[in-house]
Amino acid sequence: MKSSEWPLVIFTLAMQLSVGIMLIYDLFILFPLYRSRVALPMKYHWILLIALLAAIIGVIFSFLHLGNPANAPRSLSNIGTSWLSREISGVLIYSSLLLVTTILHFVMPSAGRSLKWLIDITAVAGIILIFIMSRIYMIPARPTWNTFFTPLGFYMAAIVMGASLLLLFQINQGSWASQKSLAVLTISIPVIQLALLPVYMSWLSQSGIASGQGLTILLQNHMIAFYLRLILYLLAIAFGFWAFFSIRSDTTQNRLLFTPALLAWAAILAAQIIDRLLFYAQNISPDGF
Amino acid sequence: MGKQNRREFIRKSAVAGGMVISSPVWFPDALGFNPGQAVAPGLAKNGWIRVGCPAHNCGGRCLLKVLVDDGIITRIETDDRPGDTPADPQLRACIRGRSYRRRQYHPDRLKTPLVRTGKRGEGKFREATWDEALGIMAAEMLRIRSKYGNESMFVPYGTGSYSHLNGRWPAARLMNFIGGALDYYNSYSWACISKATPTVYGTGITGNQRQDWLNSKYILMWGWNPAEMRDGTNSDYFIKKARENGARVVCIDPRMTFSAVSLADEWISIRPGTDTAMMSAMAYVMVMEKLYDIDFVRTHCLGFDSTQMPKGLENEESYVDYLLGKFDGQPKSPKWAAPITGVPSETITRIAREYATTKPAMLYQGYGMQRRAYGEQPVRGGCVLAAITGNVGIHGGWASGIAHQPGGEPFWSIFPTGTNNVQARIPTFLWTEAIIRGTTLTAKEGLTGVEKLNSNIKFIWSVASNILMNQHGNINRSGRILENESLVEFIVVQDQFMTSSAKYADLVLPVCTHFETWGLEDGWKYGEEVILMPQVVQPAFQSKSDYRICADLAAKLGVYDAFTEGLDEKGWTHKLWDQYRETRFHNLPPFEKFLESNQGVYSVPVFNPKISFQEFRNDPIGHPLQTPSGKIEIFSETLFQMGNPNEIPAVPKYIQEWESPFGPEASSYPLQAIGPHYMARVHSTHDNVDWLKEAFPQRVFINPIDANSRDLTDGDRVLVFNERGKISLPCRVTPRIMPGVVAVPQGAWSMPGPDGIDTNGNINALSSERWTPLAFGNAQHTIMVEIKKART
Amino acid sequence: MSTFGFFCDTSACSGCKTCQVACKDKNNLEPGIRFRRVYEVAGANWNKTEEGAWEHDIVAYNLSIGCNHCEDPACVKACPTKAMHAESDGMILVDSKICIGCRYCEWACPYGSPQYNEQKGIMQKCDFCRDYILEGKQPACVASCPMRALEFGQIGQLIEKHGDNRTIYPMPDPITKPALFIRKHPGARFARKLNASIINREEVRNEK
Ligand code: SF4
Ligand code: SF4
Ligand code: SF4
Ligand code: SF4
Repeated sequence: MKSSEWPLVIFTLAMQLSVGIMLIYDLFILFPLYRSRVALPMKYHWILLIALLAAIIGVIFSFLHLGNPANAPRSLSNIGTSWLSREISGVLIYSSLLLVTTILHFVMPSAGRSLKWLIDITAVAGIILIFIMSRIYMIPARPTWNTFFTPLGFYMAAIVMGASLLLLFQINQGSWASQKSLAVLTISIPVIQLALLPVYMSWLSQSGIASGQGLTILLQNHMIAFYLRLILYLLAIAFGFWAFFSIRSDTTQNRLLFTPALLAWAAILAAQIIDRLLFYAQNISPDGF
Repeated sequence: MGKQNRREFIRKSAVAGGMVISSPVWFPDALGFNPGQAVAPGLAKNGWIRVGCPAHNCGGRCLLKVLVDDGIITRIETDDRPGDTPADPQLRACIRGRSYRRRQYHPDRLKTPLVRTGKRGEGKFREATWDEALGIMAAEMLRIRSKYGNESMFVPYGTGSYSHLNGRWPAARLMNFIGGALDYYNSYSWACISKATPTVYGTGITGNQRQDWLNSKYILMWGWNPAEMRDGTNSDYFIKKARENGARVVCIDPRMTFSAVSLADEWISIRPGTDTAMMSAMAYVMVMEKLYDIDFVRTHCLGFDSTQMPKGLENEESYVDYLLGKFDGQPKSPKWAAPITGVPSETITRIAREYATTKPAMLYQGYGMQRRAYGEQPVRGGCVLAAITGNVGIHGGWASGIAHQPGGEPFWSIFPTGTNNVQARIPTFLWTEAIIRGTTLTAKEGLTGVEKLNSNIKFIWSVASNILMNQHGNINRSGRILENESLVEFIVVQDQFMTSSAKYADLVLPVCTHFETWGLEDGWKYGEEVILMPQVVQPAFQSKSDYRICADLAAKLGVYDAFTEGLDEKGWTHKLWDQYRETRFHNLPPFEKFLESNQGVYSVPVFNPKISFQEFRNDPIGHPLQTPSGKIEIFSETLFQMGNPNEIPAVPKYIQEWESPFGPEASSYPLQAIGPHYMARVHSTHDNVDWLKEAFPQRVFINPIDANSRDLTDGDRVLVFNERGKISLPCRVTPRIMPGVVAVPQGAWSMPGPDGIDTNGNINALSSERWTPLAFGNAQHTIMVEIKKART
Repeated sequence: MSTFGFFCDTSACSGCKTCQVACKDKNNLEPGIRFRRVYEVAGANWNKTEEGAWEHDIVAYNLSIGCNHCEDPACVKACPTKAMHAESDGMILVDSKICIGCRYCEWACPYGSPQYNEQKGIMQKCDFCRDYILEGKQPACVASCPMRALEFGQIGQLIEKHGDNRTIYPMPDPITKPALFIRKHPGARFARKLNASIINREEVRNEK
């Protein structure tokens, strides 16, 4: 798909993937382990590293979006009124926290759960960051973006990408139920996204000229992408179910989960990329200005 | 070409307020233009210079102020004289003049003379020196002259670039020093209107000065679009002023033009080519409801009804007879006209009443409707409506017709072209006929001066003209004629760019722009002004002025001294200036003084606008018109005697066009295509200017109803076609054109692809070479086409 | 607080775009970048009558917009670098030395005024012809209009002369308080009912 917004697509998705990983990791993997005393295996630290990597990719692509990156440091000068300034600060804060957390986990692999508070803070910073990111788009001059669907979409993207990626890690220490939860998330978010689609479209069609055009853009200019995304959602759901039923409490059976989890992750990632491209394709000024 | 070569500079310019703004400066020197070269002696090398907008025969004549920096024009502004009153308004340039830098410093400017190497029309050339090029040209001219005689030599109609000095005038002058050349009369613009107006009024001077429009209470802009075609700088502005004075303005046009949007209170959509039907129905209403000016008709007109027919023709069809259908059984009622014109009958009735009862009123006719199959009829029809409503010879009225200004002529050129020893003249539009069968032409085809031509056209010297392969009807046919080297044996094109016509030349000569030479303009059709056009920069590359080229050629032909009278461009400008001082503008300051003042324009404020026909109105017996009867000839005995009542009726009639939505051709080609003037061009000039293309890309305009039935959406590339040709271009779906009509703005450069399909949207691939019956004028707007989505 | 403003008489604007090009000439703008744009609004129903004629209720008009130098400029608020800023006299300018080319001001402006220069990677925008104004001249666009449909002046004077109308269909609500005063084309009254829209998008988009 042709889009001049690829850098933004990658930036936002990478940041949201990173935050999603941290969030899901914290809530669904660390939290159930909270009371147990087992030391965290190295595999867990790799998760942090992946989240960090995603954040780094995000930061790099955020630069590619700029026409004149040489002046980038100046972008923090207007935190008072500019959501973009705030976003960049948010990205910096979140990424730094993540960097510190990851380094500490690798430097002190045995520190284990004593560092969980750092992960908590990073995850919270991530949640705030996603809110700020969505606020960038919630401006009166862009009615197709200026809606709660924007933060909703960003949060759902974070959760589903995080959950399906972690499902791939086949972590079942502690409770195998956590794996089931991840699979459920992998299934239910696409279900919700599918269910919200008609709601979103009817909202588009009813809220003024520019938004009506948004609908035209979706259904005519990007028809293929639009339907491809539907199919990918359905595939993600199917693979999610497959993964769900492949989950065994017996860790030796883990290999069963790998294929469906990989497929689900791929479908979800592809769906989110298209979703984001369509989001940027909806960059329409009110009434054609 | 272009882009990559354009060195981009950042010029830091300190701006008050502490801000430093860097802006990209598009540097012509990167393209090889000569910066820093000495400008003509006596001229500032830097600073603002006032100069006329390079004249390409748009309807305006505007003042430009150009900023020259080191021999390069770096900015263009317009008239900024304080005041700006209707008596003496600023001559504000339009988008075309303001875009001129992108033409002036266009990377495609012709740089050297070019000699054809490939087949004619193939577009293959080699560079040549001036000496070689003019040597070849002189030799060919002498050869052809001795073989076929001067009647075989032709400098066609062309207004692509001219001031009083430059353009085709010096070429015409030079031809006259070597025995003359076949001449033409009338024009692509005004063939029918200049012929038909005098059949009613005995003259073309039927207009009032524009300040008088402010006295009008009702203005019918009939197919007239001054905002876009600029029928005189400020004509649109004067209409605005008339509205501020309380005039109601109604625009009748197939398109909701720029003028309809910004100047009119109402837009009435009318099917092209049916104007005379609506005019007849309006007259019908006026007759039935006795709304016409009964006294004026009785005292000033001829042939209105059977009581005032010329002697001996009492039983012929008078105008009222025609309206009531006394001879053909068909009353020309609004109900009759509605399905023809597409205008609802109530609307016709209402407009007839409004126009007849609001006094004084103007019916201003545009020129597009007379470049049609029977283009003489709406001209006569409009004049007749003006006459029977008594709007002739009064303030705020308008006699209609071509409407030259009292005291305003001549406005083409006062450059002395000398005497042409060749008496023969053909109608402008019939030059292709004169190529293929010149010796068979007779008065029936409009040949005048001689009974027969001794030769077909064998030599064409096309100066500032793109009619060869762009602006004539049916250019695919023109191409077949011109590529045959046994017909025209030598073609010279003199231009600033490799136009579609230049591609068909044997020799292409590069001409400089008006900024690069001297010249002089007047206010054209309207406006009491003289604009001095001093040279502001050096000619680009090896280009020369039209005058200089002719002078150098004159040297090769041995008539240099006679041709130049020892004068260069500046000398001639001075001489013409003095001529104006002696004839039309007695208070014009001396040339050198005016030049020094950098004033640019000399204008005469008009406080008491002149009115045509005032004396005739007051005393029709003492001051008769120059018509045979001395009266306004609603019935023309002259036309009657031509004995062709079906095509040249003695009273204005609606005649179904030879291609029309009502003929059998409509089953294959159901859409009428018109070629309006476009804001982005003056005819074909400026088609390569990026700022203009960006503002107004070439498109075919089509109503949503026609687009939907063809499954077209706005922006789709479409194929517009008929039996004569095919063009492909994007479509603009717009409610601003009536259903059944499409508009392809005329003048796009013909760019046929390998399949012969024009890819740039030149409407003349679709138009026809058929001429109108009375004026032998072009009927290029009478075209039926079909449209479908183009395969991409 | 903005001091200066534009006036656009949409009842007289023909859509000729002389203003657009006068501006491009002054600012040396390559195709695709338009500090001033002319929007064409149109809408109509076309119906064939029983007589075989055509009836329409068309509405069409033009709107010429540069930057409105808003009194509450969304672009300035959005810009992360403060490159887009208000001068003390209220003119909204972009400092190209500071701009990072994030294009966020472009999104935030309801009027499409900030114009992205792809080659330079920065935003550009109508600067009110600040240099001309300081010299006591009119902005290039205003002085160019053949229909004399544009005016420039002190906000207070413009309001006094033309009233305080800052919008015309389909312009968004004037939440940024644009210093653009508009005389409405008489047809504008019916535009909403006709579902009229800007129909010349390809002529106003900030891209080549
Ligand atoms: S120059 Fe004047 S009339 Fe032309 S588009 Fe601009 S504002 Fe409208
Ligand atoms: S018009 Fe747009 S760019 Fe100009 S000041 Fe207002 S918000 Fe900013
Ligand atoms: S593009 Fe430049 S001026 Fe616009 S918001 Fe970004 S930094 Fe500010
Ligand atoms: S004020 Fe100057 S910069 Fe702004 S639109 Fe007009 S000409 Fe362009």
